Amino acid sequence: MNSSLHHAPYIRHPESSRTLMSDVIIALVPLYFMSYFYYGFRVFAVGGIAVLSCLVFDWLCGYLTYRRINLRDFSPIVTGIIISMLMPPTIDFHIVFAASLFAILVAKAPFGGTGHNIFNPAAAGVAFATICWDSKLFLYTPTLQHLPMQINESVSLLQGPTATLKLGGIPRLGITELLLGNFPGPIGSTYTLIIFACLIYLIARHAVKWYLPLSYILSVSLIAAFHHPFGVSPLESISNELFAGSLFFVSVYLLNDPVTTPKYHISRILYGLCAGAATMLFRYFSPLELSAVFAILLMNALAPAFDCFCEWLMPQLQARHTSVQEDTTVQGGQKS
Amino acid sequence: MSVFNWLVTGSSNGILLEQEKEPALSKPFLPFYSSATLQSQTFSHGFNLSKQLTKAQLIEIARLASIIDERDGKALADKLEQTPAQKISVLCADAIDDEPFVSSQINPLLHCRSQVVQALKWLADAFQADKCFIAVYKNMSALDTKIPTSIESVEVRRMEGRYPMESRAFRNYGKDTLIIGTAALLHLYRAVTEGKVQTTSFVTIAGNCVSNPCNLEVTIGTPVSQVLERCGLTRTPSYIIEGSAMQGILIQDQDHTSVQPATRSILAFHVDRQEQLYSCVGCGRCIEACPQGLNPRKLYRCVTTHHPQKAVSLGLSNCIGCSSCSYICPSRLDLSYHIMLGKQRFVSEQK
Repeated sequence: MNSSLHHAPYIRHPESSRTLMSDVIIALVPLYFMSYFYYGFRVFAVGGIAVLSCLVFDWLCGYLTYRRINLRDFSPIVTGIIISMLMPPTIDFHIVFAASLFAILVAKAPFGGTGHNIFNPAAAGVAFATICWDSKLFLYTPTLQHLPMQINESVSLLQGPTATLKLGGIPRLGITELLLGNFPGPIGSTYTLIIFACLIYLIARHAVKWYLPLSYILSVSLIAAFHHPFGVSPLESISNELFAGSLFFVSVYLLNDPVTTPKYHISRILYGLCAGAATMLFRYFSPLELSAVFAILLMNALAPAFDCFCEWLMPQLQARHTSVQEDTTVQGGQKS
Repeated sequence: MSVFNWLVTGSSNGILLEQEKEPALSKPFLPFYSSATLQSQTFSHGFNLSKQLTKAQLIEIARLASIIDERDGKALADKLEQTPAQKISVLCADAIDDEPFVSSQINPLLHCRSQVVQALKWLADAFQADKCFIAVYKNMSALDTKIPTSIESVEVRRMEGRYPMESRAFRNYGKDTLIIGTAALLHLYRAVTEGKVQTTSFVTIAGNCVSNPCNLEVTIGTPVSQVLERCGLTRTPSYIIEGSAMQGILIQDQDHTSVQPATRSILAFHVDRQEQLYSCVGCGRCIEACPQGLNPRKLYRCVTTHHPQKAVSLGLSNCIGCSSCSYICPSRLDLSYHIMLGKQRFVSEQK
């Protein structure tokens, strides 16, 4: 009996960190199949490079810091998949590699590995690639073609709808295109319908709290409804702002990363609202097309501040609530 | 729970547990006596049972029979004596078995209904209680036995709520409430009618390597190994626990550990492999599970890095040690164990 190792409780919830991460992986993999349908086998190669390099660098960092390598820790796989999802299908392999390298070596390992990182590693990796290879990261290709492994002159490169959004316009895509992601865009972050189905799965598995993406989308759509070009209906503006880029994908997979979000209900809602506002500000004022990822990185840095603020706020609200209740009971007593 | 409460507390009041009571609960409890019970002397209290028993008489009988309440391990006579002098408003028989596997309170209630209720009625008359009811746990699904809504015109109240229920169920009933476990009531009935001294306690034997999970009425002092032998083991257990699976104490030496009056269950578990520890991913589930509205994650960090003042300011002394946080933690951290260690160390330092 190895009894001295055990403390109460002697039964544990069957879910562990591994199932938590594998739920996210399960919710990410369907996007690859849709992407394969649109762009051919190249997307698997991009994904494979991202995942493998993330895994290898994570193990390497564990080895260098004398940590035991935990083969059940799936978080580098999630990081790799998300990085590849946010890249265009025609991306050069070395950019994917560099983004994964940055994600693990700079954004994750120096802070202490899984669970200790301040910034979401995938968001940091993509942001790094965006800044370094600005010209290549926003050149997309038309859907429904089989891309060759080596991108040459035969592949037509063009700007996606996010470029229009950045310039302050509205791409005016139809609802079918928006739901199916049938327009030039990143590998895996424009298939609204599939992402929505995965979101429902993640909410049902308690991997995502429903109020966080909801508050994010709410603040984005409020701003989009009030700030839109002349002649475009608010509803069209909202749908295009939400679904034409990678914003919805980010709100499901990057915003809900458990490590970098606040922990309380009220702070999560505030966090979502602020992240939405920051995304729209980045979209209107930044020179880059990718706004949501930078907004997430900014908010990640502020997440502990949100928690501290709510730790101060919640007792105040509770005290106020109880004093209001006592007032009403006293008044009721006087009446009778 | 209102939206406002949901926003400001951050907790969803405990956790849902699979109850897994079934094989033990539906079978009537079996006697497992040693010679101490069989040869025990009866006493005669000499009171007239056709008249109503007074408070002093009941206290004397409880003292003669040396009944111990299994709820808190206190002597029943002392508990009755310490009640407020005049009268009590609520008298409650506690049969809330909110922890998985354990059914040692509700099982005697279901199979000796009239005795338990008779003892409860004596107490209610003697203490002039306004209300008296039997509390059972509501969230028990998939039971073969039906729990009645009333037993001999005494209400059976279902306590609804998530896991740490027993400690929270009686918070709203003021100070003039008397709560007594059902096993103690059954012993009181036997003492009054037959003059029996309490020599036994009701124990649930269960766990994933017990071949015949059941409730036993075990003589106090019987070694745990004999009790387990009585029910049979299918495999060698990895660990044996006295008390519930959530809060119990590990039994190191089963031959020299004996059944106590407050023992409610003995559980034997077999675990194939020790689950690997992960580092905290900050999912916030412990905050949602905590019934006291604490932040177990932060408390754990304060305790392990030795920051007593910060831990106390975060409400360390409010922890009730229910282990909900450790149960739910996907990283398998021993949150509750460390927080309780810190509570013992830091809170005593402060005083």
